[in-house]
Amino acid sequence: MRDTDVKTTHDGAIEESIELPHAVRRAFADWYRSEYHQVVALVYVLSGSRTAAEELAQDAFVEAHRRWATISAYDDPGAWVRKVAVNKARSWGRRRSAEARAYAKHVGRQRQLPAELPDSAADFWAAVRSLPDRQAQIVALHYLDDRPVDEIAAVLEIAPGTVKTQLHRARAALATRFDTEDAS
Amino acid sequence: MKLEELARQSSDAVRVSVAHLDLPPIGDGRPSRSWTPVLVGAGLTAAVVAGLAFVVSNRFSGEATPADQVPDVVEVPRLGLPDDLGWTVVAAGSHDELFSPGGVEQPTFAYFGDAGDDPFGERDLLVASYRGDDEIAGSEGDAVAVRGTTGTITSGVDQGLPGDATALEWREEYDGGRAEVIFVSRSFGADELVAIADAASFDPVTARLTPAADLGLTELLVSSGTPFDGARGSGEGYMVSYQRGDGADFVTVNASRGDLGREVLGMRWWTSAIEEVSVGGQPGVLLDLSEAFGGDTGGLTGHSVIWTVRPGVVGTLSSYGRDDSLDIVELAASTVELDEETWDRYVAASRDQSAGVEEFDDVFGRSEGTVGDSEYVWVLGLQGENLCFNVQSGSGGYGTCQERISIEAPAGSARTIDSSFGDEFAHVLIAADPVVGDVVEVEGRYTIERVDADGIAWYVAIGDRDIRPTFDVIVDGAVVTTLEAAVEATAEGAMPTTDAVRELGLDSMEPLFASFDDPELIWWFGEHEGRACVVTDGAAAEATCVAPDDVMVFPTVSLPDGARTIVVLRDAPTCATARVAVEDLQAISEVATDEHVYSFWMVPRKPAGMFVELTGDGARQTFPLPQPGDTASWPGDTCG
Repeated sequence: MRDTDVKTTHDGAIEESIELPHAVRRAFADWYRSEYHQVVALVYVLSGSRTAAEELAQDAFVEAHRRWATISAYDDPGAWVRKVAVNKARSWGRRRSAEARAYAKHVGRQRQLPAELPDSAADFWAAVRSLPDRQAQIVALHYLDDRPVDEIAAVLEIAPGTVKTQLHRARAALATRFDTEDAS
Repeated sequence: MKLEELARQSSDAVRVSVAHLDLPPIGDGRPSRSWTPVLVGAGLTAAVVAGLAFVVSNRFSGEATPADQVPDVVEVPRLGLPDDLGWTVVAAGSHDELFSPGGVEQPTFAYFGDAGDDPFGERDLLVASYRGDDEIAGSEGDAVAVRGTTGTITSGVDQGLPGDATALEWREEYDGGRAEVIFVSRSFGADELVAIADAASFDPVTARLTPAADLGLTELLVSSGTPFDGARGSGEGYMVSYQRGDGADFVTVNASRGDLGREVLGMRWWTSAIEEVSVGGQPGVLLDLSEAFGGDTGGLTGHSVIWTVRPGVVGTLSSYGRDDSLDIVELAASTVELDEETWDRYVAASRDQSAGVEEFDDVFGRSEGTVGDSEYVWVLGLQGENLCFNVQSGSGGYGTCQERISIEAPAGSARTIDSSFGDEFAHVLIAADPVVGDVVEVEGRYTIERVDADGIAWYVAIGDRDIRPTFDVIVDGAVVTTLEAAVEATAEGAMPTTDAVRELGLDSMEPLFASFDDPELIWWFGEHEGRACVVTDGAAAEATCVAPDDVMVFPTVSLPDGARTIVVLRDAPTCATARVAVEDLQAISEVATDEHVYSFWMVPRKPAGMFVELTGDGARQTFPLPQPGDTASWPGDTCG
């Protein structure tokens, strides 16, 4: 079986198929291996769902694979897949479809789940999710993904100044919530 | 502990929690998504197509009832587990409620083979088709030309199907719609599948493909979903889902109108790992789901037991999780018929789950009801320090958070703080001074409930989305003010100061509205120094102003995933008592200032031939939208 990269238009129509050379396939595999767990972690904390994390992250990588010929030329393909993953996590959280559908999904296919978090970490990330969406994303990218302000801005496609402002507000809210000192 | 330290420790914990996960296969000829789980996940699993399902060959050795012997009238019980087994209810409802909310289109699975003792032994073909708005994620594989388009050939395991099967997948476009179609077979190879597909006839009414007659295949069974789907059989059925322990183990219990023999026939295409069992003395079968899905179970266990509950009723209990010691035949035998009180309790628990009650740190109020055919549940309360409101129906949910608010003097003050007009119903959230005695919709068309919490009287109004409500606020029996559904404008800060903003002199503009709903396009609207302006952020950061008018169409914004056009309507004519509808537009919100009521809309592309539609009092008027960058006024004779 040969590998293909199917380019699609925004409405999903197939435009053309391009064979991916072996070296490109290898590059994707290496990149995927290096990024996968971190993206699952990101989706996990932003969606708050153990059951959705792996699937949403996988969806993001599937999109990356389809567009790999383009994305691989980016300075930071990781920023692209994070943007997709963050949006999927946000969408999942805000527009929860009927809960029963998710459970029906489990019947159809089985998959691994992230382990449950210790209480302190679970509380922390629950508090992060209670922040406005953009602040939660910035906090996750900053602490969990170890991304500096300019890279967060690139992922979220917002101004670095906005990242700084929102991160400051988020830290202040979290510090109040946990009665801790905001060292920022 | 400092916040930094807490954040770092919490981040480390997350990294540890995902470290054990295996990478799902992507590329290298392996799948991205499985067709079947996608269908299941889309909630498209309910009914055998009534009247179409029949069994030519029924070779199950148990006491199966031929399909045509299923009684016409069957009372399907609600089955569940005894409360003392330690399982927690997470979802409960009828199959229609859970899997066909809003009349969602069902997928069709048609099984073809040869009439005889071994119907799939020599030739087999599964034809699955789904006609709906959801796009089923494609799989990676070999691109092939089929039926005038490009399809994909994959192996069965790539699709979450039996590993020795070959699959052909494509999108069938036809006059009036499109359908996602997959052909899967163990006996036919890729070239043969393409040839069979090219020669097949397509019925646009049912969106089903039938192989050419000269192939000699017999249609053995037509059903919706797979034999392992939680809700399969007929639409007449009920499901309860449970979880246990840390949530890694799930069990679903279903009862539905159906026939065991028919179910077994479908199963035989999927797997040979079917074990006959007795469930409390009734005939049944036990199925290993890992076998059915080509052994790709991700290290977890999954089994289904299907049994005859009574003539015309089959029960299905499916387990999924890490507990390999679970005896699901015994669990199935322990199921009981749930009485009305227990069922109502389960449904309430299910709705709490779907409405996200667990997300709230302090629940001010929760209620449920119906609008037309739509059931809903809403929750109001605090998540952290944010005031949040969730409303959930069978087909989706709406959730929003904002900073906690206060009600200022004078006594009796009230204001609308949130509203939405969704696909099924509308909601309006009003915050009022506790001295307010009542808030009523002037024509009594909304259900309104009051919750007193956090020093505020909250009024939640739910009603028909096509009715534009107006609310009287009553203190001591007298109407003190009237509220619209539109949210009272407040200054929306945090607008970026980009070069375009500076060039247009908008640095000091106080936005009336900010939209964060579209992650690709965050934008602010305001009127500043006699201009109506939109500022966008992100990849398409810019600022634009137009002369204020009734209908303002701002220049189309181009984004990597498509275009967006922001439309702002000002002061819809008073005769339009019903909602303002704009074809293909996504309603964003309404905001009221002292002078105007604005409604904000988004066109997910560049508008062409779009129009505004006003309805009310049985009248309907349409007005073409101006081109992007242009504005228009309401015609003078709008209210005739």
